[in-house]
Amino acid sequence: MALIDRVRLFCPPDFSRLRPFRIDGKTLGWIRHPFAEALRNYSGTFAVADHEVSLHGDLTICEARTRAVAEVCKDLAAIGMIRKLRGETFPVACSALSLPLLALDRGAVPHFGTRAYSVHLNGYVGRGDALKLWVGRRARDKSVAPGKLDNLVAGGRPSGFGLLDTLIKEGQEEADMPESLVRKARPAGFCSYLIETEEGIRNDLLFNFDLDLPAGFVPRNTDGEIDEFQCWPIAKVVDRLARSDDFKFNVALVNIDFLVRHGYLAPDDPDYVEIVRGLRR
Amino acid sequence: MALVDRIRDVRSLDFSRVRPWRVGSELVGWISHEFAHRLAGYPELFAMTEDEVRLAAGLDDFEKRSLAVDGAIRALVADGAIRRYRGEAYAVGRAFHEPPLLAIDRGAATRFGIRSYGVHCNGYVGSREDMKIWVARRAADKATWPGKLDQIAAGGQPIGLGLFENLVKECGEEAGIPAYLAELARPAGYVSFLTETVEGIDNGMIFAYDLALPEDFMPVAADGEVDWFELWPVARVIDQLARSDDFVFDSALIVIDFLMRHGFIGPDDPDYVEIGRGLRR
Repeated sequence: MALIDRVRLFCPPDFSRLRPFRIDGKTLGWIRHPFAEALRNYSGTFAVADHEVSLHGDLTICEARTRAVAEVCKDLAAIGMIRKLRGETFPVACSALSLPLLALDRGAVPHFGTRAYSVHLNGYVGRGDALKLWVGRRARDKSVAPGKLDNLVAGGRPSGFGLLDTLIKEGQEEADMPESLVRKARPAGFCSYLIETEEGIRNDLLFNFDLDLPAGFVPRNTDGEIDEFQCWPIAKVVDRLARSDDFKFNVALVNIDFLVRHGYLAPDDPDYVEIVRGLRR
Repeated sequence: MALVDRIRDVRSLDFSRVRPWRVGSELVGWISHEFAHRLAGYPELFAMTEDEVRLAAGLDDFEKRSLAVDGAIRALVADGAIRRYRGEAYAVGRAFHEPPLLAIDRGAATRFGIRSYGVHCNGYVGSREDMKIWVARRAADKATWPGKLDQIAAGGQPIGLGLFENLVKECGEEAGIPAYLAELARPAGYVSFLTETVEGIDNGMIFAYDLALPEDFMPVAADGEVDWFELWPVARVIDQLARSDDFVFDSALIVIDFLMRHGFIGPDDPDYVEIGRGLRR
């Protein structure tokens, strides 16, 4: 077992199993064929062809699209095609800063394979070999990745929130961090991938932030999503990443990116180039 | 003008202008059709088709391949088909950590379009808003990129030398950084590209190192390859990068990678994702 195993999980999907999801002629997601076929029953909302799925031409504004697609998703959740609607929407847009073209329930996002943006905060104390990284353990009743290890703060960017807004909101809920502290975080790049999972297509872009925390700071979870926080020596983080899949799969990627940027991995490692390349796809 | 222009300057290679160079079944470089015509003069070494250049199969070990190709390179230098012989051997192979299949002179690297490796050092002082970055101007008589701006120390990776060893050596030779300081440099990832420049097919991978220098340290142009060194506030570096192509194109990528890792560019920049993707190709 080695760090590279955490990166090799993110191999690209077999595109012959998918067809593009287009809005206004632009590819904004990827849909598996069985799900695309199920959308044929909703010809007022989707135009389904063998090689692509697009929104019905009459749906030209975001609000109308959102309403129509939400109705379809409700139906598909009732018959089990969508496992669970979350009651929170993610924006579907050409980029993280573009105006949304559609707001899609979070539970439906993997079915449409649209890009989801999230923010991840590496909270650390000290430097060099003495650096320690805050690690959270996800609650056992979380619907996604229960009991897995997580960043100090992480969350998907919901509709209506900017990236920094999301980080501030999640920082308060997940770790009881005052806004003034979260604002000291520095952006540090991103990780990205497009993979097929059990649920569908994960088409994620993760914005990474670093925060050099005061030694006296102790996070405290307020929303029940994290069971406990621990501050781990960096060597323990490396060891656990290499030897287990205890970290949530995409959190491992964010942590490895941190290790690369801060010099805890070196190019003498024969896997270095493959690891670094695998962080953004 | 914006930072993303430095990314877009590094155009992807036009593959209609080149053909692959293979040793056995391994792709090891890209050769322009014009240079392929020159290599056709050495049929005992290069098996030539419209679609590829293949090293003669009879050359079945590292020594034989290196010796035979070196003979051709020296002749091509004499004919003016290769600008100059540098007397420094570069490894040719499939990947950095795999045993090289042969070595060729550095002066021929961009003719054969081999993946060449280098180490660049970001020398800086201070942190956050007070950070300053050491900038070097290359001597007007440098063989490549004369007069352009560069990192405090940078160098190509010759065969048989470790990356970190090379970094410490270049820090000493180019900037007079004593080994005990240079050894504090931390690896921080890489940038890579495959592009065509005035030098030929530049297929580079540069390992980035960060070196926090003491406030009172003054670099010295020890080997005459640098005209001057200046310590620039980060805002001036960003401004110069955005407004001009005064930095060598690959050094610009290294600085932009540094700016991204250290939070001087953030996801509120609409070009952020394009910039991040453009750093490793």
